[in-house]
Amino acid sequence: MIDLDQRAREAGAGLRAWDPGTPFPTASAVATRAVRRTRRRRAAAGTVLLGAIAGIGLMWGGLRHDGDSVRTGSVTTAPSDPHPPTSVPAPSPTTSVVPEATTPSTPVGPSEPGPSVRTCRGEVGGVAYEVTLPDVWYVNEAQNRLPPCWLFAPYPIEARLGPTEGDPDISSNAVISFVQPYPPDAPPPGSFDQRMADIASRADVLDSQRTTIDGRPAARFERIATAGDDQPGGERYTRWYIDLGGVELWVSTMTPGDSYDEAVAALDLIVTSMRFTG
Amino acid sequence: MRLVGRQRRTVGAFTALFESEYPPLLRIAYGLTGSQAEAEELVQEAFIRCYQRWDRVESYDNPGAWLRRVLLNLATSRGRRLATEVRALTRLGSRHSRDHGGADEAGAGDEVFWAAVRRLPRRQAQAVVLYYGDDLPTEGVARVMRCAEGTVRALLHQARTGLAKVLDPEEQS
Repeated sequence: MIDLDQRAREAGAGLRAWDPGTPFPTASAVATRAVRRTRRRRAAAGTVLLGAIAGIGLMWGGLRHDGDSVRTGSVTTAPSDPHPPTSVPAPSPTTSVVPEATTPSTPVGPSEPGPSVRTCRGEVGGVAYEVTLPDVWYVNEAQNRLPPCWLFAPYPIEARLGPTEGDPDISSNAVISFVQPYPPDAPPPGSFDQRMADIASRADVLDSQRTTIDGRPAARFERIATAGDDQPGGERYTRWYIDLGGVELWVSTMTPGDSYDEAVAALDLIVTSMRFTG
Repeated sequence: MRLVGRQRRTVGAFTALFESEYPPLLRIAYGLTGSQAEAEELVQEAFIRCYQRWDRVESYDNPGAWLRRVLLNLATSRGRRLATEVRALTRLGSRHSRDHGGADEAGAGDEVFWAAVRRLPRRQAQAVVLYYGDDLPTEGVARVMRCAEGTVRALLHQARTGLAKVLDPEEQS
């Protein structure tokens, strides 16, 4: 019977003492690669945008049989633009509860000016939505039962689904996640107002605000987490609750070890930018 | 002048992080992949992403934890890509396949141990490399893996049990 812990410690010490035998690259060489890649990506995005502009221009010209000149100004809202203008879509008056979220900082590389936000689209409870997120953040793609545009993080997202087809559990390293807490066939208990009032009365609530998101009743709570399966408890977290009419959506962030303020700013940006399209 | 000063500070801070974190990250990546060339590529990719987001990463409490998390995810993506390649090669009837658990270089100590680690379930392997290879406390491993400390302890226990079956002749019998 070997002492696995001891052998593992010795193997770890061996790994830490490992000399790769080749010189390390310099920080400036890696930074140069990063800048070149960013430029290439933006050039490619620009090519796509120019292509879209040209395509729309041709289509517009084809439709204008009377020979009027084409007004290119309208193409700045081309739906195929992968990087929308740097400004966040104007919030509705009722979403001004968190004004800082509508004026995001410019999260770009150290020497690269450029767009700061982008959009993604998803669906919850049969309601389609579009949200804006910081350009440098990652968002999940559809994966088996995981819908697209549900998880957000400032680093690549790794999502792990439940082990069986009927298991809706999703665990991930995302710092912002969408959750549909009540199954579609089991409507939430009581009214949305009652549920929000109940939460607001709890002792763990640090801050609560009621508002609407694109016309839908919503609430935002900052709370202190209680100990649970995956959390030690005591961490601050912020969660939005949105009433989609028989379907409730939660959008939350809890970031042990990360920048909570950055995560909350991104959370507020994402939620206050939500536009429901169906 | 202000821009020049800011850029200088950025380069200086990034360089300091790079020089302090590149060697341990390389060892983590090597422990996870068993290939020095792939480890170097993964670590450079992690730093490229770090530089592209430097305005934010620099403000984090622990940029090293962020880098490790990115590295784990990159290594996971690489593993999936390799698995896809192997499946494709198998379909094509190629005799060229690669040993995911093997190492292409010697010299990192107990290669048999690390090759066995690479055959563990992914989360267990990550916990072992971070805890034993990177010498992080369980709290630090939990921070990188974004889970509770108890989960890390459970993963390490499961990993040791799994490794014992492979490495201990008595367990095998």
